[in-house]
Amino acid sequence: MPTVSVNREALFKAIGQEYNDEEFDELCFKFGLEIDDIVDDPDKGMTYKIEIGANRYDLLCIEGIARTLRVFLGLETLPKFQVLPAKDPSQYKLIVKPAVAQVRPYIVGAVLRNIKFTQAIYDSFIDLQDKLHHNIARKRTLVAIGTHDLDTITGPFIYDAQPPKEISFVPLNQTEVFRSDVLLEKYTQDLHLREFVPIIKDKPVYPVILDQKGVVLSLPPIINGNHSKITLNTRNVFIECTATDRHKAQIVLDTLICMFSGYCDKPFTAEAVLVEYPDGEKIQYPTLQYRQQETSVAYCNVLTGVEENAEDMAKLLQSMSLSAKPTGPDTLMVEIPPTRYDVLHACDVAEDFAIAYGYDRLREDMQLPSTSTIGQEFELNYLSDKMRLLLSQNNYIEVATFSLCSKSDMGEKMKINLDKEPLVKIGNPKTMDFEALRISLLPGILKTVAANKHVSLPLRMFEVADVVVKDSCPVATRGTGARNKRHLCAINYNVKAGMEVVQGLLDNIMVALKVPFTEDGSSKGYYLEGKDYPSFFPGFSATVVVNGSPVGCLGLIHPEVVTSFNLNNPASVLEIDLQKVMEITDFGH
Amino acid sequence: MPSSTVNSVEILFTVLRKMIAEVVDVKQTTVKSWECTEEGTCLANDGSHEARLFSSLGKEGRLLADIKANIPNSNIALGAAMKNKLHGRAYPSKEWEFRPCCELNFDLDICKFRKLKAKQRNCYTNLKIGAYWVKKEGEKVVPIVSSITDEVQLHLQAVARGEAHAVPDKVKADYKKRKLIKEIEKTVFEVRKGSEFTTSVVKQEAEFTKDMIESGQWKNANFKPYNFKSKGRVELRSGHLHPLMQLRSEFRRIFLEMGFTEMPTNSYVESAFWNFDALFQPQQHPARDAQDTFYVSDPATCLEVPEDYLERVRKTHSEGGYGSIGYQCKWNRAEADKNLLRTHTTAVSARMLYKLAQVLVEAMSETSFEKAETYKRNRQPQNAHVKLIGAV
Repeated sequence: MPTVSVNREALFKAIGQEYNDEEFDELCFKFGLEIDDIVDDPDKGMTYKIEIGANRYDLLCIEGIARTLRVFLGLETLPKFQVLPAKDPSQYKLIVKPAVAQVRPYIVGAVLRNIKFTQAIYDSFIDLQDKLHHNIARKRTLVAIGTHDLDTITGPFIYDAQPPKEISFVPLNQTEVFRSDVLLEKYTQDLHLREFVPIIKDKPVYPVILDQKGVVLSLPPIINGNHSKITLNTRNVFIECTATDRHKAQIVLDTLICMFSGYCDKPFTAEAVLVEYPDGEKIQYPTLQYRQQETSVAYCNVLTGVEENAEDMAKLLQSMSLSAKPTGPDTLMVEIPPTRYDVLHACDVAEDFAIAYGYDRLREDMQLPSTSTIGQEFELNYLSDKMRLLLSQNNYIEVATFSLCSKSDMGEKMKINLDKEPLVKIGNPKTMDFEALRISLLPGILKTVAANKHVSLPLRMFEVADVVVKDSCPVATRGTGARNKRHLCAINYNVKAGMEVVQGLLDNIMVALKVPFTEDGSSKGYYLEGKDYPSFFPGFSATVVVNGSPVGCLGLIHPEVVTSFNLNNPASVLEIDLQKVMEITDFGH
Repeated sequence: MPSSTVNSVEILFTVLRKMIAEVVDVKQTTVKSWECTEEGTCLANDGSHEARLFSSLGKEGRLLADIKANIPNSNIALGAAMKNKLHGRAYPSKEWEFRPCCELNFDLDICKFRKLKAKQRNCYTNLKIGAYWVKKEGEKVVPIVSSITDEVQLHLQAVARGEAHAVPDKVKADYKKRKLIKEIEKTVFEVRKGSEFTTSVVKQEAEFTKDMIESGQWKNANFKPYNFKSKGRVELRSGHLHPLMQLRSEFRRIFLEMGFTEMPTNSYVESAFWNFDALFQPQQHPARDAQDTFYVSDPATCLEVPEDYLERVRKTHSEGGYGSIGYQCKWNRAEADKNLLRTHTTAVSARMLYKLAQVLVEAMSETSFEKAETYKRNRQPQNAHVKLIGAV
């Protein structure tokens, strides 16, 4: 969610109305924006930090916000943006060479004629390019913008990709000539530019834009040349955007034009630039696309829950910068302007209609659906809740621990060799504590006990929750390769661990599940079979067997495990795979 | 009964216990008083450090080094002896008479006097230097006055006598800072005869016993009224359900009562296909960044995805479809195959909707028209309007 900082006074001046902070917050909220923060910036004065949706490219600068709000308030209608023919078509061309196809295949361009810059407008211009770079252009990997003083360069322009050692120029705000590979090396130290260097650094050729006299306009996506630098005196601006995604380049260019063409002598116009690809394709930019989207009135009404007719709906859509004409009792032809590339489908139109209608005006009374259905619980959750209730009735306290854990908690501290376990590992953990998904509830519970050493003994805790294991069966894992298992784990931490305590708990659980205690080896009922586990003290642990299958373990925690978790009292533990028990006992049926 | 200060804690508790039984009435008050510390008592007896320094000087004075070596607490003594205030009136000299001067402070500390600039110092003439005791002359400390009054000693003696009120508050604060005196709080209990006053101690019963009931003795016993103002007692720590889980149960109950069917959400690992692509989240969306999503390194890619559905998803993302213009860019299969930790339960909803659609498709594709009708009729109420939710 990008945040745009705008000076409060400048914003209200641009909107043409004064507000106090609360009123403006209300207005933004109605429109669907949120004011993140109000700060008193030493350079910029009182500043609003407004949170904008990632898909609203028209709200990334003060010009866009002000105009959109003015349209929303009915103070103006969205201007019609026009592409004018190039003043000198032979000059305003971007000739693309074949070499670029391997690094940065696409380019678009446009001319802003007779524009008047002030310091504020200039700053906003740079700012918008930054925001576009950061958001839709995905940190310049998809699109890179270059803006130039047209009067300092001579078209037609060449877009080529050349070996790094053959490109030399004076980069922006420098005085000496740099060879491009040396320049990139230098920029690996630069705070702002170093994140972009890897985009082309190791490529065999670097993209470069040149004019007829060999002047380097820019080395995308890194930096522009100093020669064509824009100053406050610049009157004609040449914009070029190189890209790996053609559609996004179009969006970026159109956005820049729509936001800043208002300052041209002929407002809301831009002059065309022709792009010639090596395969013969010739496209004119900017597109400034006006798309016709047919929308059903009934569809919008159903989604919003209101009953508006076509004319009123069209009027409301107008305030959202969408010009609509009723073409029948149920249809609207909505014109999507180049500022609204976020509208992809009729549902986006319906959303804007709902906002214009006013979310606070939508129906107040709760409406239950007219069809009644019978509710149904997920069976595993039903059983788990019964178990949880039973355990709390047995005086155990429920805990909720993290599903992610560190490898040391699962492995070394538990005396378990993780290489043999079906552990699901996280590729980008935030901290060491979240390296993998847990395969047992026990470490989490032991950590909880450790955090409660100040509480008087005995500490009896339980958790009924999922662990995750790797599995190669597509059906069991729903195609992913890993599945959840519902486990139940209970601990008795006391001066004397008392294995008989957790065993008594197990007996109660089995009574609730209607599984009888039986002799060893029987295939019906449950029993305990002595078995050594790495985390338990030898001779003091057993497998819990239900209907002939092992479902869990019970025993005395090994003293080394106790100390590795910073505890000092003995503990006895029960952990069973509840999901397996449910399947084996066919519980509830 | 006259009020008396209770020293012994035992007596105190007995008193309080009896207080409840209306045998005695007890009123509790707090009284503050001053008393000398150990050091303060020493000074009260022997005199203050500075006074003792003064008496050791004699007429000629002593070398500073000598003093520092031989007199205990010499630095305190010197500081106090030299710090005493300048008293007396200050008259502006002839030159300064008609000029606005600096603020003439008539009660000026010698340290502050030293800090004044020469011009300002000259304003002060005819000063009566009343309370200097000693001054520094080169390496020597010499007495200025012939005799002194050891006020500190006098004050401390007053405090020891219990006449602390005679000493001004400001001075007391200073002595407290110097740790010569301290303020103590005493709790005073006033004990009076109560309505049930008696000198004989009667044992009162707190509750019945089994013997009392069987023998009938409870009829003769004297019972102490139960104290309802104290806290109750819990026998054994009881079990509890987790508050978050309790909240979750509430939510589930609401949905179930409305007729919802619970989805199986017991799957933390999901493929990017179901979690993002099937939900029309573009592949370049920032939410799919490594910063905002946990990607699984093992198993890194999913095992399988319904291929025909995947093809429809690919087309809609890259070219559009179903009324949408799509994202107009290449769709990467490898991106969709990545495994991640589910970022929202809506991924499960997507799977459910797909399953539902399969069921409906199956129902519609019955060969015989009649069979299709019955099939549809049997299933329609449930399938057409099944609403699905995810448990948290």
